[in-house]
Amino acid sequence: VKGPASVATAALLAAACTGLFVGPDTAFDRSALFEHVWRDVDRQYALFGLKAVSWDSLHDVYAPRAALAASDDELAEVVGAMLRELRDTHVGLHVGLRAYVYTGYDSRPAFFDSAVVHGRYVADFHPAPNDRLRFGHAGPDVGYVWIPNFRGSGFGADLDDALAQLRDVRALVVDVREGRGGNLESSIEIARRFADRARVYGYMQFRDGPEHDDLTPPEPRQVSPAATPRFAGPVAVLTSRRSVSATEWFVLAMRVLPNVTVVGDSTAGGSGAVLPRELPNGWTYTFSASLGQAVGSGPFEEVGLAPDIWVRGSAQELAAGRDAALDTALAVVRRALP
Amino acid sequence: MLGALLLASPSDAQENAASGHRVTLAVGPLLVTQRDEHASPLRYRGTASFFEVSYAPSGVRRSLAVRLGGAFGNLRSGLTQPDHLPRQATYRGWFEVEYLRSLSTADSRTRWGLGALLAARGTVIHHLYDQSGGADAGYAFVSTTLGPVLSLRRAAGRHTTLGMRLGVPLLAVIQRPYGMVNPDDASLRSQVATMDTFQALDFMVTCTRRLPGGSDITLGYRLVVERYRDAEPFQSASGAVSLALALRVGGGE
Repeated sequence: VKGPASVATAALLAAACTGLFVGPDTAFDRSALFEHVWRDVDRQYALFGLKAVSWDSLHDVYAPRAALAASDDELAEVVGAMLRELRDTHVGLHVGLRAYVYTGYDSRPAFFDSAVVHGRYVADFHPAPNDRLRFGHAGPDVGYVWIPNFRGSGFGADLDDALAQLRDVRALVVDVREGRGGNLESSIEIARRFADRARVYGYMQFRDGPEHDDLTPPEPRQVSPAATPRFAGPVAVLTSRRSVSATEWFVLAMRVLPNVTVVGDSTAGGSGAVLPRELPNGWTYTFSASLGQAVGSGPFEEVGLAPDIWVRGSAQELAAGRDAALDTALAVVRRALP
Repeated sequence: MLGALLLASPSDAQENAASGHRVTLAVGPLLVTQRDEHASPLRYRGTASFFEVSYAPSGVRRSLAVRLGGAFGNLRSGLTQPDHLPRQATYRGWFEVEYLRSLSTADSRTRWGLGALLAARGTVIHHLYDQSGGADAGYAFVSTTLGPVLSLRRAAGRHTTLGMRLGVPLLAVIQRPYGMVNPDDASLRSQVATMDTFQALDFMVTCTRRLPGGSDITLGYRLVVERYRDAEPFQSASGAVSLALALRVGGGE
């Protein structure tokens, strides 16, 4: 018993010490919190080269305000305001249920109304099993698939189910005008159902050093065919100024395919991969850890991806029960039918 | 490396010189505390499970041991409720080569050994923020270290031996990405570190019981500490309780 007892005693003593070797969480005062966020973004944010902001100058502007903050709420306002200067949908501060984010994208209209789509164009509009998308017939030979975002998983299975139920259609409209982003992998999972062969659809660069322009070489992103049956007919992808982030990567992957036409408005231009961070006081913040580039046209941050056929639509048309972009998309795919 | 067991110490090899080479399998729980400031300024803690396989050729005055191990566990910060996110899924692996030379006579009740330990230890952290997995990030820290190791073994009965081992790396090569691991190209930056920037400690105590047939069973505890001073420091401490079974393979000297 003596030997095992010695080991157990040593283990208990040492186990109690593991926390001591690492030390407790650092207690940040308000100025330290501000400095931590500023410095972290300074060292890791990937899009400074496209944002035309002087991050050092913003420090000089906001650090005194942070030092004067009399409450955590005031500090959150200061940090949030500083982050908003980057005009990046992936940058923001989150304090409990409150979010301090750039809202420039939210004011852009999508000119999309699911009630109009359901009421006028797609009578059998219904959700797929995982509820990642909704689909139906927009005519006897044209299917319609609506993907509101790419959050979560199960997108490929849902599209497979939709295509199985739409086996009688020869053309398809994929509507991502409300596309609020999500998982890049999920968006490419959908695009793979349309790919004829492996194709490079874009490039990604990650922050790779302390200087703002320290980025990795552009790394190609490929879309390759899925193992499931491919939809080979004409496809129109509907976009709007609200289509952002993972939705834009979906558009990138789709628009390099020979049977796809992009119809609608330019996308939002949120190209980065979001990186969440946390603070010892429970706050979290996010920023873009990468820079995205389109094949042939380069970075699309803020400017977005231009469609092949530009149709914006209007609130008046929607109010009258007409979706101009969808009308155009339907005409495009019907024209492309043999 | 955090928590592997020294399964077949050089003294084991010396004692078992006549019994041949030793292969040892060890498993056990690991209590991990770490803070990789690439990932978070918060300290993450939790339990992991580890395994280790080691091989020790037989020797009398000199001995060699090669160890290969891995561990996995989910760690949480003090701000995270159980079963909630964020958490750090932590993967660890290590490969060690230890050389020891006996400083005592073969018939000594207390045997000292002195040698060197070359160890490569890697930690990969998958920081999970939300259930959708849309915003997860990976981080990595790899250290390759070289330093002296001191061992002590003392008989505590006819079939029982107590052991202690202490290793302190003097020189290290640290490999980390600039920030998060690039998902397309997990290239690491290398930097040579001495004790002013990288401090580590590898301490182990064991109680070994000889079994009939020449096998051993060992109860052990190993504490491994790593502290790397950097713009974004890495700190880690882990304690592993292990149960190891050493088997004789092949012939002795």
